[in-house]
Amino acid sequence: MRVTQNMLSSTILKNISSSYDRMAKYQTQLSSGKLFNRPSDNPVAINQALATRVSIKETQQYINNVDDGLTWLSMADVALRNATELMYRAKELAVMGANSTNSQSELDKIANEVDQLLSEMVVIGNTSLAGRSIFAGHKTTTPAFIQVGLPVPSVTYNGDAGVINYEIERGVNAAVNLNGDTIFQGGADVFQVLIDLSAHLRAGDYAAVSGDTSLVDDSLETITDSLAIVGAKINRMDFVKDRHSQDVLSLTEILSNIEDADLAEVIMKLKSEENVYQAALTSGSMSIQKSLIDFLR
Amino acid sequence: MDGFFGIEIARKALQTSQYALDVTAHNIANANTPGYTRQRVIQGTTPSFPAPSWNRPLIQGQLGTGVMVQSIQRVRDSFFDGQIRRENQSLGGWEVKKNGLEQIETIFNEPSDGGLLNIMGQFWDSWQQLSKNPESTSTRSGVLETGRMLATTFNQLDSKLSRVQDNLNEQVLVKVNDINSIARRVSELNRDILRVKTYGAEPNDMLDERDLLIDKLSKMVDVKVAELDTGATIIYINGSQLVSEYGYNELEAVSNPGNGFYDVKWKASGIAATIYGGEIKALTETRDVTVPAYKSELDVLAASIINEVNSIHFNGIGLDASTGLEFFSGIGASDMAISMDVSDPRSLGASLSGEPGDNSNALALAKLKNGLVMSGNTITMDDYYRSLVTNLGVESQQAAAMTANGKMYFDLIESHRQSVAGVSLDEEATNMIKFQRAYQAAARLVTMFDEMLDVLINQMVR
Repeated sequence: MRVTQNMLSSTILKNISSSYDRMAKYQTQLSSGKLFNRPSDNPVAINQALATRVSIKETQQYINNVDDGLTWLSMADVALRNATELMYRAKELAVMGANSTNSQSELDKIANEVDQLLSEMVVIGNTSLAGRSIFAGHKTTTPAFIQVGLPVPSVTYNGDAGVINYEIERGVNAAVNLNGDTIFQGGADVFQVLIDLSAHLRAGDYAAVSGDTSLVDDSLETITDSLAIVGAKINRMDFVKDRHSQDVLSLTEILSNIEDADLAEVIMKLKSEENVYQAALTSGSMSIQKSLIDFLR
Repeated sequence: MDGFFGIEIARKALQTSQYALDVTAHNIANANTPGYTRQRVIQGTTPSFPAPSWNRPLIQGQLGTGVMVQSIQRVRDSFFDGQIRRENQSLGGWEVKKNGLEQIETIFNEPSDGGLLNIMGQFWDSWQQLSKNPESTSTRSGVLETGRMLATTFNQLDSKLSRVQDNLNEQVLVKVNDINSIARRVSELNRDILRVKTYGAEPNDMLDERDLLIDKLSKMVDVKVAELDTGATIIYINGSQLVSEYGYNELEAVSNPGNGFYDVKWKASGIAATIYGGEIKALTETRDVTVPAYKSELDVLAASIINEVNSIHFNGIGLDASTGLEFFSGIGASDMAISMDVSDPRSLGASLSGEPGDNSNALALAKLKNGLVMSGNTITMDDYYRSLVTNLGVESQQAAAMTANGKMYFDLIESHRQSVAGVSLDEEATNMIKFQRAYQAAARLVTMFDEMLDVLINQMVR
């Protein structure tokens, strides 16, 4: 084939520019740390990378949901533990009051403490988290229980049966709330038991006080049942959270395998491309220099 | 046979060598001129003496009478021209397609945090947040804010894609003007070439210019070229003459009242020009098919987000007890916006019972993210958009590969063509020496004859 100077120079130019092009590609990979930066670089991998990225974000959102759910449930847990403590004390007081050796003034003192326990129990029933009543069902902005006072006190549930669900994994809901009426009024009405106990003490009705002891036990059992439910929910949440955390780790690794450039490899490729580029430049400058014209005189 | 016979041969030799040196000089001078074809002096002997006839001089044999320039010709293989033009046409098309698709890729900007996929994710996440804090006005404002961002992103994608269409459209006009000016120039060259050919010479440089122009033309539109014996070139676009033997027909870009885009028509007849290849075809195709396809997929996605979100939000009850409200307004990507209904964050329908702590509707909206609502309820909105991006990647990758292949093939044929037609400086230098020596030898002949005549004329008389 007949080769002219222009062919030679355009071939050299073409080679130099394609070598430069590849160098730019490796430079981009090196500086971005990613094997591809636009869909056309590798459509299949991009598809996987996008899907994986969405999964990671989604799982992180679920972890966030679980965390918030745990906050809510821990709050309930603490409240219910306090409620059980309180009922143990009520039990002691009832047992103490049932003893017929007590004088009426002693019984009145005990009744006063029971009244205190009642108010405390209402406060526990109205436990709130960041301004939201956690035992009031959906009526979170108002207290769960309302105590109306004298002459005969009574406590009524002000919430509803609303269930608050969080999505803790794709398509799976978990209720994070327990309704106050189930906890405190599901079996023997805790408040009513305390109100009655106080009234019986003040009336000096030893037999009734003694009967109240078992009612206190009943309501205590209802509360501990709820406490067990909350504990189970917390366990489940912890378990789901662990799984999500592992998922995020493995998904992140998958994503990295798909889209992260292997730096050592890219640097090697870049270096060898630099050599090719240098060689193309050198050979170009040498072959363009000379022609027969240089040797004529 | 007179004594000046030989000196006449030497004169012709001098003249011919000088001619050849001039052509060599022209070649060297134009070594880097685009489209230039190297030229060669075709030398031949002048008619021998004596010519056969009754009264020819009675001498032994026929004497040669010297050399003459028969013609100056281009060294070119027109087979490559046809190949180059076919390749040029498909290369031109793929280049335009590739550029268009690259622009679309840049607009979608995936994978990145600013991409639609991420913003859609943020939107669904904001509903998740609301499902955990349905009473909070600031969380509600967050939902409105991400919703607004989502709508704006759709709006911008749509308007950027429209801008790509407008750009492509402008280029159609530019290309049509280019084609017309080339047609005019080729037609002028046809006329001049005809004149030169009439008196028997080869209009080499004009032929070069014409070939170069047709090369350029072939990139823009699929042309067929026919060469007439008279030297004129006729150029057809799908059977209609763009350049005829004595004139040319102009194309015209006429704005279509329907969509505001240019249609390419023949100016004289007003009939639409049928174009099957080249840049113009790719420009109109990208403008009318490729970009609209992505726009409509985007519209489908936007419409389904609007409808699905609205139909769920419709059931929701806000903190202010409002219900039956739409969340998004609009019907597609271009006009999607947050509805005026929910300008107050309290009116967002997170609840179904009307109680402030009820999150059931917010949760239902958050779950739309993984709802199979697209393509006949088989895939999620995320899936739909991801397959859009993947298709775009595949299409763009193919266009880039085709462009690279076409470029490689073009370069290959071009180097074959250059191998025949290109000026080699080494070759010209060799020729230069050759013709220079021939000139020197002929000059020696003149001197020799001069000396002979000197003997005859000056030194015989003594």
